[in-house]
Amino acid sequence: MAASGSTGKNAGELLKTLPRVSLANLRPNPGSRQRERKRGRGAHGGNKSGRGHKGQTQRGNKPRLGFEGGQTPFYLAIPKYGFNEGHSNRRQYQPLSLKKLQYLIDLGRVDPSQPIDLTQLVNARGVTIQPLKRDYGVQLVEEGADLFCAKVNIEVQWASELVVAAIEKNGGVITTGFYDPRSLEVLCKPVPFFMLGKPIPKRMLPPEDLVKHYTSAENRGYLADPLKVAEARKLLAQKYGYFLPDITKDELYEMLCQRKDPRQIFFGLSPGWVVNMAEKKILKPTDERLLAYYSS
Amino acid sequence: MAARLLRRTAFDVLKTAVRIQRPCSGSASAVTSQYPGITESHDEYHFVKRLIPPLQVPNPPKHTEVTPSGWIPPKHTPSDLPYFVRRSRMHNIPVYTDITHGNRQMTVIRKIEGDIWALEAEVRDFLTQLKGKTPAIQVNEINRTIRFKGYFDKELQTWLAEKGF
Amino acid sequence: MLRGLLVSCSRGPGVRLLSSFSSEPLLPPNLILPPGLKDGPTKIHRPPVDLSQPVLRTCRFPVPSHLSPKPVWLESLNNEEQEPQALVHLHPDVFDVPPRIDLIHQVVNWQRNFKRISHAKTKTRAEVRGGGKKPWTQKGTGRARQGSIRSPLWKGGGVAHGPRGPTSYYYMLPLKVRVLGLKTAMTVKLAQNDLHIIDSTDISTPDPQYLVDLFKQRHWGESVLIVDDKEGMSENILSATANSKMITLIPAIGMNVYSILKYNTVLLTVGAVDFLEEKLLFHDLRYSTLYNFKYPYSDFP
Repeated sequence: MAASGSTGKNAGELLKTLPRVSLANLRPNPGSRQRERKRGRGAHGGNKSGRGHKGQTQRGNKPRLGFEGGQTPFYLAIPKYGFNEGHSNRRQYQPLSLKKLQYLIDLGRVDPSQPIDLTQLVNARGVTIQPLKRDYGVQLVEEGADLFCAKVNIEVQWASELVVAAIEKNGGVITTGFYDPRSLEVLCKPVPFFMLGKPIPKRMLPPEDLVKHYTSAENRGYLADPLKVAEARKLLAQKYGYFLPDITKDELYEMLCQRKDPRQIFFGLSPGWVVNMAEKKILKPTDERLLAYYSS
Repeated sequence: MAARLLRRTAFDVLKTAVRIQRPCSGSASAVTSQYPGITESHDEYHFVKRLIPPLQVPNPPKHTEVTPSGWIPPKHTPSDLPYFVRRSRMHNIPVYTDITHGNRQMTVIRKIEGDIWALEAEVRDFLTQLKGKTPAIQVNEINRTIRFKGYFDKELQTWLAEKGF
Repeated sequence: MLRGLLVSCSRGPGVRLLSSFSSEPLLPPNLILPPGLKDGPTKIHRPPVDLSQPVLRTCRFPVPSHLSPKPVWLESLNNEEQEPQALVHLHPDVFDVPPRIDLIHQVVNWQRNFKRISHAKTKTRAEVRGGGKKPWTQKGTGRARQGSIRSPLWKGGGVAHGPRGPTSYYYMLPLKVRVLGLKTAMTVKLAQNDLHIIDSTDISTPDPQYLVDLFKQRHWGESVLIVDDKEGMSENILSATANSKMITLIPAIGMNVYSILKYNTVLLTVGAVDFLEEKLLFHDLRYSTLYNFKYPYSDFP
C-alpha cells in the first residue's frame, strides 16, 4: 500500500509506479487484524483451554453471582431505599447553555429574527430531544450568561432566573411552555408527523405539579398573566442591576411579541389541521363538533 | 375559537404586554375541496416551510474577529505554511480530546493536509514551551492525524486559529 | 496468469520509460522485465503545466482555497487519430483524496459480504431421524456407554457444531465510509492513469470491434467500464457493448468500488463526473440526518 511519506502528495506519486490496484491485491492495514485465539486449539489455546486448574472453575460448577459461601450476601444485607424509585417516570429536560445558543446564532444555524422554538433548535442540531426517554423539552442553562448578547424571542420548557435575566437584559423575550409527550414528538420532528396525514393534535395543559410553575410570572410561564410578567421583568432588572430595554420601541417588536396559544403546537398552524406536504396545502375541518373540540 | 379570542383580548394593552399570535382559520383563499367536510388553503403553508429542517450546514456569516461565543473565523488568505488544517463540517478547528482507561488523556489534531512532520515539529516546540517538557506524540500518516498525551485542546485551538486555519 | 503479469508489468514501467516529464528513475531497482513485452510500452498524455489548452468543464462546487482542481484531458470515442485538445477540471476532494487502500479493502469486503446469506445447514443429533432409544444397557456389555445412535461420535449421527440454518452476513458500513471509499477508488484509478474522461458515449457505429480496436490502440487495458450519466443511452453503444465481456456500460448511479477495481480502465462522461461530484461532495457538507432521506428536507434533493 502506498501510504507513507511526509507530504500527502508522495502517496499519489508512489501509486503511479506500483502495479494496478485491483481486487487481487487489496489487504487491510498491517496490524489491524489480529488472529483470534481459538479455545482448545494449539499451544496457547489448548492444554486446559483457559479453564484453570481443578476445582469448581474448571468443572463449571460455580455458584451464582453474589453468593458468599452462605454468609448473607452484600446485596441482601443492605436494606432497600427508594433512591431510584420511579426514575423512569421522572421528567427530564435536555440542557442548552447560553454559550451554545450564542454559538448557534453566531454560526447562522439559528435565526434570531424569527421566534426561536424547540423545532428551530432541533433543526439547527443544537439539541437532541428523545420524547420516548421521558424528555419533556429543553432547559436553558446558565453557562455563558456573561457572554450572551443576542436579542431573541425564545420558548423553552425550563429556565432559571439568571438565564431569564441574561436574555431580557439584551432586549429579548423568554417564555416557558409545556408540551405533553405526544405534542413534543410532533414539535421535535414535524416532517415525519405531517407525512402520517393525521391532524395536528392540541397541546395538553400541564399536570398538577407543573401548573404552579407555568402559571407563575417569575418563570415567565405561558399561562401567566401578562401584566404580572411585565412587573416581574422590572423586578428582575432591579434585582440583577441592569437596565431593562423597552421592547415596544424595537424594530422587531412584532416578532418579539409572537407567542403561541396554549393549545397550539406550531406558530401559524392550528390544531385540527392536516398538512399535505406533497401538494403544499393545508386541509382544515369544517364540522362544528371538530371545530369545537379543537378550539376548547 | 371566537370565545378564546375574546378571553385573550381581555389581557391586553400595556407597554410591555405581549401579543399572542393567532392563526387565522378563515382565510380569503380557502377552497372547498372535492372531499366533504374540509377546506383547503395554500396561505399558511409558509409556516410549514419554516418547520422543515435543512440538510446542508449553512455557511457562517462573515465575522472579522472573534464572536461572542468564542468562535474564531478562518482566514481565507493563502498561507505559505507547508501544511494545512481543514475546518470540520461545522466550521470548527479539528482538535479533540480523547480519554481511555479512565486516566489516559490525549489530544488529537485531525484533517491535516500537506507536510505532517513539519506541523508535528512546530506543535512539539509549542507544547514544550508551554509545559516545560515534551509530551508523547504519535503521528498517523495514514489517517492524517497527530495525537499527544495530555489535554491541550484549548491552547491548540487558539494556536491554530492564530495561524489562520 | 502470466499474461496478466505481463500486462501489469507493461503498464507500470512502460509508463515511466516514455514519460518526458519525469527525470528521476522511479522503477524499483530489483524489477526484472520479461523480454518481448506484448503491446509495447504505453503512451500517456499528461497536460502541460502551463495549461494553455481550453478548459471545457470547471468544477461546479467551490474548491477549497488551499487546493487546486486536477486538470485531465477530455477524450472522445469518435475521433480515433486526433490527440485530445481540451481539458476538464476535476474536484480535488473527489479525485485527489489520500489513497487509503485499507478503506477500499473494507468497502470491497462489505460489498461482497453484506448481501451474502449462507444457506448451509446440518442436522444436529436432535434432528437426525431416530436415536431416541439407548442402544444397549449402561453396564454389563463391555462396550462404551452410549445414549443414542445419532450422537456426533457415531457414523450417521448428527453434526456437533455445524452450520446452523441460513446465516446472514449483513452489516452496513457507515455512509460516509462508503462515500470516501468511492472517492478513494476514483483517486487511485486517476493516479494510475486508468481513469479517462470522455465527452459522450455516442459512437458512430454499432460494431463492437470498433470499440475493441479503439481501446487497443489507446492502450486502455483489457477490460473497460464506461459510465454514463443518463439512463437512456444511444443505440450504437448499447449494441456495441451488449455481448462484450470486457466492456461494460453502467449508469452513474451504478458506480461502486468493486466494479471500479474489477475493470482495468474506467471511462467517465462529463455528465457522470458532474453527477458523482454532486453526490459525493454533498456528504462532506451536511448535517446528521434527523429522519430518513426519503422524507423531505428543505434543501434536499
